[in-house]
Amino acid sequence: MVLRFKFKKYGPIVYIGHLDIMRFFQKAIRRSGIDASYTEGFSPHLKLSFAQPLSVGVETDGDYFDLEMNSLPDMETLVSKMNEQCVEGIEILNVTLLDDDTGNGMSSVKASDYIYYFDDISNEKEKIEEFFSQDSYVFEYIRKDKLKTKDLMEDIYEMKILDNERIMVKVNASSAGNLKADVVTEALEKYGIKSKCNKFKRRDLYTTDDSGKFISLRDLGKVYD
Amino acid sequence: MRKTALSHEILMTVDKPARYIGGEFNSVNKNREETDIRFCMCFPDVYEIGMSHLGIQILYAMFNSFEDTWCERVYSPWPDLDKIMRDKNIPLFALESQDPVKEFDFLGITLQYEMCYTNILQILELSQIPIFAKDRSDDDPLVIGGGPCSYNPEPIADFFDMFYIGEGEVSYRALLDLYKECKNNHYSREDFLFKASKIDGIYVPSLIGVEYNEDFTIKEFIPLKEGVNVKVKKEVETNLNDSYYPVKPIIPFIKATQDRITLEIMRGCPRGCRFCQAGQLYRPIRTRDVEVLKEFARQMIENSGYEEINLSSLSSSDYPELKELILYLIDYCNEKKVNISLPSLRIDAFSLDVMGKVQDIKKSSLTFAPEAGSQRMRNVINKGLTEEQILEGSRLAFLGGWNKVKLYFMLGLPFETDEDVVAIAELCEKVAKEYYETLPKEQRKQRVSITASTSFFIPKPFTPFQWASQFSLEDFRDKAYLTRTSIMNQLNQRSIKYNWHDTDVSVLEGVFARGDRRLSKVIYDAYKNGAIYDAWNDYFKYDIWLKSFEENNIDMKFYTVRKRDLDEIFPWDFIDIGVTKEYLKREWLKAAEGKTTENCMIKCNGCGANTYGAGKFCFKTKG
Repeated sequence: MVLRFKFKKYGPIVYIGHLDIMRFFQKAIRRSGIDASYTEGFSPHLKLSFAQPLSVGVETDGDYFDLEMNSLPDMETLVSKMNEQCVEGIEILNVTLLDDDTGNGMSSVKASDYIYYFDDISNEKEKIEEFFSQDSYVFEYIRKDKLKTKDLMEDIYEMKILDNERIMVKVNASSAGNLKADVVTEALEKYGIKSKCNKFKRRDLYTTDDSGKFISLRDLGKVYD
Repeated sequence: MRKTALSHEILMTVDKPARYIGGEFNSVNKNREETDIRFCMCFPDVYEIGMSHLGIQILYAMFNSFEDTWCERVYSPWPDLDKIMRDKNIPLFALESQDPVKEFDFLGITLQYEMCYTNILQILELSQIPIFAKDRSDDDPLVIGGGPCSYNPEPIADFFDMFYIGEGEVSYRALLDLYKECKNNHYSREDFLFKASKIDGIYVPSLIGVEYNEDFTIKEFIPLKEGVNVKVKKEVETNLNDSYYPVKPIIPFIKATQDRITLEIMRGCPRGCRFCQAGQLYRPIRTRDVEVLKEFARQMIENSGYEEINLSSLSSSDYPELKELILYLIDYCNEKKVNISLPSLRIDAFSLDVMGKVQDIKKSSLTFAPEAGSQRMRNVINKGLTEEQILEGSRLAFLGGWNKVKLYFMLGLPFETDEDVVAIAELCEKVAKEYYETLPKEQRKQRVSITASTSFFIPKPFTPFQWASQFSLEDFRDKAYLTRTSIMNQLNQRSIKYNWHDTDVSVLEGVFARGDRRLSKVIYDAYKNGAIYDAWNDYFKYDIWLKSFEENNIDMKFYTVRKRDLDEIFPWDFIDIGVTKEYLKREWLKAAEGKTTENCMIKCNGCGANTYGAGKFCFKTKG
């Protein structure tokens, strides 16, 4: 039995790295007293796995971890029980009792939605549309002192202008081709978008079904809020 | 939503920003408008070190249990942030509220080791609080020191408004009540400090003067105001069963050095090793009842989610109900999937059995702390561990499947000769030999692995060795060299690994340990010239210190290698820890003769700590 927890992260908590967030949840799960499974041996560990790590400094409304259980707790009260063990800035949103045939969270992630917040894009909507409607956009950028070259359009799946400040972009988040969210802002700036992007946050993570359609990681079983 | 004192840009620039944001599970937030007293507790080292300290967690829990007080925390910013804060003139802030430390009523600084002294100045300067107490105004926080180094506070006396001598559980409430009363009546800082000096355990350096002889030894302590007592008595928590304990410890997000539950089982130690300061400072011996400890363990496991629990005391083997406690914890922790990190125990059938249950024998090692190589030397330091015990313990362990042994020694002990140093190598060899004699060839899975570590002995105040001359830097190096060559001359030298600690720091630590008030200026100058994080090898800059001593015309040897007269008045003699100077003198003279003193759970040796009337092991009559 595997439970999939969806959580959000905001405020000062965003400065806590991925490994430390994992350690936080390990302790929170232990404190909650739910009947999770452990590995054997001298130092037993929870069978816990996290989906795509998020960079330090970035908020999220849709990150996940999977936890293997020995027996199920009362599912109706589980979310509030877990939130008692969380701190301001980390909140469990819902929990999914995964269908038996669901793959492991880590390897099944295919895409991520990010919301980008701009000062004001009311005059630049067309140019933004134009950027994202290209078939190919080869972009050179530097990360960790290394020059990288990527055709961004291969890893950008969808874009929606939400209002005069926000756009939503769905990008590749698979372990093979994860596109970091800040590369998109860098590319937009280079393309000539004048409005400043002040921040971005992850909205949700997706896998694909047999037909290749994106499905939220949450929707692979029975969801409890 | 909680705010951060540092901007997004800064937090994204510095290493481990989680050090500076607070908000950890079990950290306490209160409404600043509804609290009368704001107390900022500081460990002057980096967050991961400071968060591993039990004392602060105890006091944090205690202060925050007071409705009128909000206790927060601050640690030394790492050099990367230090620079940014100076460049941008950002005042140092407390983690919980993220408010500037300078707005607090108290800044409490724990003094765990001498090499953190420059970090204290960093904390004060970044907080924008005047570094010297004499320059502070009524608006500045009261800076109060506590912890082991406060038993000789003199080298840093000029930086503190007061020190709390003893265990914090006892007198803080009285101090806070006095503070509130003085605040309501608009008393000056000076008036408050005078009144505070009347509270047991409170030392106000500005009220006690020191007069020196021509040779800079101390002539006398003089009250600088009428009615000031020039004796300060250590405070002792008499009942550990109902004292504050942090059963809801703060859980750091980033991994602290001690990433586990700490269960303090007793205070004090009956062994009376003559080099050990803690063994004297924390007398009388007091234990927590085993049922209380079981309850604390259960609550802390439940409230923390930690994966490991650790028993803390100076000598766990002397805890009377140790067996019952450990057997209980093994059962309970097994059920809760919590590891037990065992304290160093006397090696016998029971401890080996327990170790086999909680650790992987293949990976774990056996630890002995003989501290000296020869029996003669172990008698001098009153370390009641014999060669037979070490060899018998090793033999049992080898039969049980262990093949790694760690041995800890000190070099530069008083009355030490070359033969005593060579005996370290010989003892290691005997342990190796024991392995080959105990196990027939077919049972040996691997070669035996022996690790010998030496540290340099530093005489500390309030120990029988406070009269001892510390060895010079050259002597230390010669001794380490002799240890190394002697080990290489042993038959089984390939099975013996030797580690030793750096020497420069030991000299400086020795200076501060037995230092006086003349050192405040040296520390200030060294700090101003760039000395900081001296406890960290990568940051320790000995040349800055040498220059600072030279410019102030102070000879380090006065504090280290100088021979002290039996009747010399020491800088810390105005503090009364219960253990009398007469007793320490007797012990020093016995050490010179190589005579031992018994474990005080067996026989009272009349140290004087029984005047506290605490702990069931202190006999009422003098032995």
